[in-house]
Amino acid sequence: MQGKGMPRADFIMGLILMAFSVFIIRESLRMPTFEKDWGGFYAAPGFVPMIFGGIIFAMSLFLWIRAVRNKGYKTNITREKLRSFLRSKTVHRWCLATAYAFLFFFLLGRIYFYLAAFLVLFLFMVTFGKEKLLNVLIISFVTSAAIYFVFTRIFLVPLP
Amino acid sequence: MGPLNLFHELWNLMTPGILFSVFWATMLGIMVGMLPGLTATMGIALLTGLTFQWATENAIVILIAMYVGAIYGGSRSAILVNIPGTPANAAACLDGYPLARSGRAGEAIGLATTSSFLGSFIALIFMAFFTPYLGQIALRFLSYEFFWLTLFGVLICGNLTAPEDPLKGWIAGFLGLFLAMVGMDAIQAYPRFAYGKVDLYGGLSLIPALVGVYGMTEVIQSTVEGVRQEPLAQVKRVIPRLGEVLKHWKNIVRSGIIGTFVGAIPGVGENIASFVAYDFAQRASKTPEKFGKGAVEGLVAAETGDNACVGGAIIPVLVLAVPGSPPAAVLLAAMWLHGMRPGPLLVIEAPNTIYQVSAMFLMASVAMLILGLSMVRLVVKILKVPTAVLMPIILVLCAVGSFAINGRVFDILVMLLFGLIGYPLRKMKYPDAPLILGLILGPMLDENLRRGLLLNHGDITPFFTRPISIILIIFILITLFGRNPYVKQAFQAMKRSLLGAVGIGRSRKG
Repeated sequence: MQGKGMPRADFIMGLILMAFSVFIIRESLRMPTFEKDWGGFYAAPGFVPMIFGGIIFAMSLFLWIRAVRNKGYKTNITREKLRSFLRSKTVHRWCLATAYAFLFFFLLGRIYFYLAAFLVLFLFMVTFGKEKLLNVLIISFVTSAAIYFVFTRIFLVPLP
Repeated sequence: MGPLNLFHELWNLMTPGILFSVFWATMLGIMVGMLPGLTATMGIALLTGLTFQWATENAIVILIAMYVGAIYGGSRSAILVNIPGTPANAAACLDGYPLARSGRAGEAIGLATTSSFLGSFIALIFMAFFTPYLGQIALRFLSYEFFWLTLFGVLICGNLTAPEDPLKGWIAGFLGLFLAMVGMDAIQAYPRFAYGKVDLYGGLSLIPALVGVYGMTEVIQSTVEGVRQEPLAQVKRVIPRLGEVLKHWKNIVRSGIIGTFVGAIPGVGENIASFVAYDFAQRASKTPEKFGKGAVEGLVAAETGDNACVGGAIIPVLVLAVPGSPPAAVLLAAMWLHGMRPGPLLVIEAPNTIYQVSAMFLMASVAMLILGLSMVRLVVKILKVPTAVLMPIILVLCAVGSFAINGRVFDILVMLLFGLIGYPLRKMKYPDAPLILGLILGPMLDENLRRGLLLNHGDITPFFTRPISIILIIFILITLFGRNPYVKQAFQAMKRSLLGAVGIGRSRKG
């Protein structure tokens, strides 16, 4: 992200971080203080997270003010821009890559590990690669079998 | 007597069986270090179980070789695919990867290997001859110093990894520190930010988070942007010329000493050592603007620092029975398992143990140098694999690596979520390393701040009055405000007035 895009991103990120830090402070204050048993507020489990929340708030406020100075508030989000963004190849690739990663997570424990690994490897390579289908099949099969063998037999790591 | 003792122990260890063990364990360590998600800690932990029945000498030498190999091996993936195999190699990514992308992968790996070896060698000198003295320095660190040290670590990391906008580096660092607060706290065991989820009671595991931020983010970024499609650089020469190495001798000696000292501080591992060494190298460099864009000096400093830290981390294991880093903690446990008694009494009970361990460390370092330089061409071939083939394999390895530590499917979810957050953060120029460092150091910072306050009934004075604390506070202030133009002007004015005062003094004398 370069040029004009960065102040805009900082503007939005500043707001998100400020909201998040307020949430951290609020949750920290809701934690028990154990003052009677431990002598003071500094022993409370929420003490340090509250400090972190305060520091993140201060830094994100600084980030936000800086973004405002650089005219980052001019986000100009129009329906047309949003539509072209959602139709962009980058977004599609990101969505697919994330979906395959979560599909792998979902499959683990439900089917055999090497089968889940084979499926994800195959889908990933077919979608994003330029290899021939037969090559993809062979690579997916050999790789999933090799990973299974190396981890379960050599490293003795139980797989999901 | 020291060198003679070291030579004597080295001679005793020169049996075919032990030499074979050193080489295969170092080779395995390099492979473990290279694979994202498999760390030195995990490698040592796995081998501890496997070598439990073996003779003590053989088992300990294998574990040390695994440690040395894995910390070094992580630089391979850092240089070649911008994924540090272990947290220690995060600093190596900053310059190693740009070097590889500019067609100097072989040179980068060759120099990283040589500087890793030289870093280990510097640490060896300290380990063998100064161990009792260094232990005493590390022993002076109390809660107050640890608090400032962890804060300094996160801030300096933020400074280094976001040189154009340190604010984003610090925000990433504090986000990491906050994420470390999830789970039961160390003092009252109160589950913070867990919301009744049992999986969160133990906190966010470091390895899945690390694998997510570095591995998963790289998978998504490479898939989305289709990077690393350019033709691979020719690896013409792997073994660096002597002149090339000697050119960096000051940097190597400085980084080696820094790495060893940072390693000797209990609990502070290779990741901080490499970043601190990197920072010092950047400050001392004549071309600091090249750092982060493929500066050989940066890579040399980072790799010397982290491998020197391995030796440094073993020092408190030997003299204090306190580990200098997480892998050293497993090594300590393995030593106990094998009936060794590291600690302050080691110098009296078994004085040769220090030399024996030093000799093992030397053997592992030599094996690392030989294997590291001879395997480069083979490893560089990883870059020839198309992104669409390599990235899903890394995804599967990331999932396996995340699962392997605790055997929890929840950790795979943590890894995926960190990867999901990591990509937009990276796009908005929030560096990865401070986030992870914050996650590592968060519990230490929390525990030491509250413990320090509890010990003094809420009095904060000791945090500001102890000598080491004052030094660390000065470092923090320099880190925070050193780049501020007003502060720079004030420093320059102070410098001019001091020089002027000296000049006046001389002229008066004259």
